[in-house]
Amino acid sequence: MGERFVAEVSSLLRGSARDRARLCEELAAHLEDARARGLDESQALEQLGTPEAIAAAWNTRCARRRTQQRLRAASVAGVAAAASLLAVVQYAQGAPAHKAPPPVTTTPHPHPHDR
Amino acid sequence: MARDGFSGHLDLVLLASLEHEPRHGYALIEHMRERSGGHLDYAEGTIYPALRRLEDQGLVRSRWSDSDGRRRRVYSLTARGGRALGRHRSDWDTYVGSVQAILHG
Repeated sequence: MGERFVAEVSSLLRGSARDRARLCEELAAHLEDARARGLDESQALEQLGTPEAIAAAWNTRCARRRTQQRLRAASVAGVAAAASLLAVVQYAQGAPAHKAPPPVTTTPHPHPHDR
Repeated sequence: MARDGFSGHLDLVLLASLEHEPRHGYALIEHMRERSGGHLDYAEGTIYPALRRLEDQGLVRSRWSDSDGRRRRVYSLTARGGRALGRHRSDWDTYVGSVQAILHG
């Protein structure tokens, strides 16, 4: 019964496989602890709540996490874009006006045969 | 108290239940039930998504622990979680005081 319950919860979960596996392992451990405290399996499952309620809470958490990750990524992209724009503006302001190249002077080198 | 009556304060209750020692999920449920005299009666499975949400926010941390031949995820409060608990406690005291003043004023 317990395994079937956890499998039903798992089928309703979103998120990464690793995250889902961790939740399922915690639920299974929770049921074991309840049984160790003297509850029979049906009592333990009743106190755990319905698979739908657990999955709904989990999926809300996943959705919130995805939104926060997207906001962070957008924030980083925005900062990078602003930094690039600032660099371009600074370069444009600080670039020197066109100057004539300095005159080329050459110092005659003694020819090896001119000694 | 109805099972849904306190779901909005679950985060506060979880943080407070981790204030003095790390606990795994079942121990948290037992602690909350005992301290509330049985009045806080959450659907036990829903505390795990709540704990993960608190972990996402950096307010708790967790690790696997093996004891009694069983593997459990043990949660503990972070320093940031301790500060958040202090703020939530203060907000709660203000809220309760305000409602009490209206109800019994």
